Amino acid sequence: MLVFATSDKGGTGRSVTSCNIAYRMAIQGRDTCYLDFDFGSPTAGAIFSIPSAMRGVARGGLHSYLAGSNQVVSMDVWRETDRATVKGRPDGAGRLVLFPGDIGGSEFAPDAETIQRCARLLLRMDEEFSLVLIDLSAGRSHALDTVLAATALPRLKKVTCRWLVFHRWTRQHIIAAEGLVFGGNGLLDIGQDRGHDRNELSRRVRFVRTAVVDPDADDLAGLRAEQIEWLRNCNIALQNLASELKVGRVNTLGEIPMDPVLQWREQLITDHDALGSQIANQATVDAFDVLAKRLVEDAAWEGL
Amino acid sequence: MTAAHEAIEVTVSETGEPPLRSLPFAHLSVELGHLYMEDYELGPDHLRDHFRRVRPWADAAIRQITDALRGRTPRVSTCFLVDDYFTAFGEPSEIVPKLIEAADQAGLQIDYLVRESACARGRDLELARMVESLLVDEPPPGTNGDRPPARESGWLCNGERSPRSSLSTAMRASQAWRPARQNAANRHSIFVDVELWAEEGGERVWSCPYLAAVWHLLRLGLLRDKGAPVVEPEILRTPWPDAWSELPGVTQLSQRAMPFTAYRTFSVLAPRFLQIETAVMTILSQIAVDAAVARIPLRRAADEQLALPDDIVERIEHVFAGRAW
Repeated sequence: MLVFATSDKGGTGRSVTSCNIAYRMAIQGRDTCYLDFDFGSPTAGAIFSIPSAMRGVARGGLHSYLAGSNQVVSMDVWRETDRATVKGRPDGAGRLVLFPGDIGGSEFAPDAETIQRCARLLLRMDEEFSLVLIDLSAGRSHALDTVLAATALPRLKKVTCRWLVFHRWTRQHIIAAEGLVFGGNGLLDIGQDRGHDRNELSRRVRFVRTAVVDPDADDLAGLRAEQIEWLRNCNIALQNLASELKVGRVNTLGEIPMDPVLQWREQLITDHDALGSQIANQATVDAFDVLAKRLVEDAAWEGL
Repeated sequence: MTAAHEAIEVTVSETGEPPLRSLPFAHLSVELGHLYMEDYELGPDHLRDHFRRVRPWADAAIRQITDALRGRTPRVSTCFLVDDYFTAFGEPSEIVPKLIEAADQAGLQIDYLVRESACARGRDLELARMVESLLVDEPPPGTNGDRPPARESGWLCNGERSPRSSLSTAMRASQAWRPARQNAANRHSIFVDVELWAEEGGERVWSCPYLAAVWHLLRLGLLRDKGAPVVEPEILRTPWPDAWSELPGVTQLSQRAMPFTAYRTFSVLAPRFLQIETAVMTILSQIAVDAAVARIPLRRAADEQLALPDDIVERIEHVFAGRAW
């Protein structure tokens, strides 16, 4: 299965959430890989804490592969990470492999050959891994365009593709996410232009809310009543806006709560972080787990 | 071909610019074909066959101008261009006499023998560079300047390429394919993009069509350097040299030849040169000759009651004649 992660705006937590989903998936026993298609800023290595790929790799990144190189570097996260709590594949876990981008890479316009190479890569990954997570650049990017064109090719028809659109739980982000999917020259418009069936494609798109503050959460107990009331009203307004814009709950696969570890460290959150050192919230780990499960659950992707 | 040369006139400019020297004009300059190096290696029979093929067409052209003059004496000169620019081949002392003899056997006389290198540079003049400064490439309608000018790119075209799909913008609906377009299309377009030169090892190598364009301009008497002719025929008083570079740019082979420059040109060429000449015409249609120089043949022809087209491209005629039956 191919899962594409995109967002209209930067800073949504798309990459860190995607890395965590990949991590949870692998822990749940699936062979998982993560393709860093954030060409202008391929820093997934930093989230997985792989010292040799913090900003991508000097040679053999996905960027140069798509541009014509034959070499593709893959990194076994279980082995390459320098985080003690992540290092070493847990019993029963699947593979977790990072395909990094290139240091100093940048957004580039695909030609027909790039799209063919991309399709070849995606097919090969789909054969080798049970879940392939492709983290795309934000916005109406060449990366999104490239994968839309590649997945529209007949040879990828039989491959299951799912699209996650990340947005923070704010007014601006909701509007932006809606625009990226449904707006002019958006994912559906261009997907259709590149050869997708619009309805079919739209059935494969789900939103993921990030940095969501639950006004009723226990950890907000320190706030004044006025603040909580205001938060509640905000939340209702956002929910109304979201459903008005088809970014509502029915189209949403999951939501990730605001978590200090995600805000400040953008890292994999392990069970140890939640249960052992307790720097992260268990709710965050649970949210990743739920997201990881729903991602592969056909019921969550049935027609709306 | 016996009329006396016209008097040479000198126009003195009032602006202090160097005086503009005129040139004598024949009515017609006939090019007696063109050969590649390999042709010379095929022996005297091949050369003779070449000129035999040219002969009837040259005769026909001369007959046409003779008829048009209604009793006045036609001034016709013949010329032959030797390609010493792209390939060093043979030696003049060996090749020129064979050429002259082969032409003679076909009943033709070569009045002027011209080296192609002379179209690139003269003794003290970078001629091709000078002509480059006359290039005025026509922009296609609605152009935004994304194509560099011919003088920068070394490529000259007569319209607009079939645009590439706009890959540079992400997430844009794909554009339907659009055809190339000729600027001045006559109903349907014929798009031509011509390489004027290439840089090889830091050195500029002029393309064959570009040098041929200079060649036509020379024959039409439309080039001047600070008012002076850029190349003048010379009569060789010594035996044929061993190196082409020792030959004058334009060697006059016959004392009594009519002027090398002419109102109109006529070239008899093998069909394989059709594409080159299309490119030549594409170049010449985007050359702006100095107005004062351009006026000279127009005025002279008018004095002789001959209509000369303003457009220099229309003064150039070709016959593409294939092998004999």
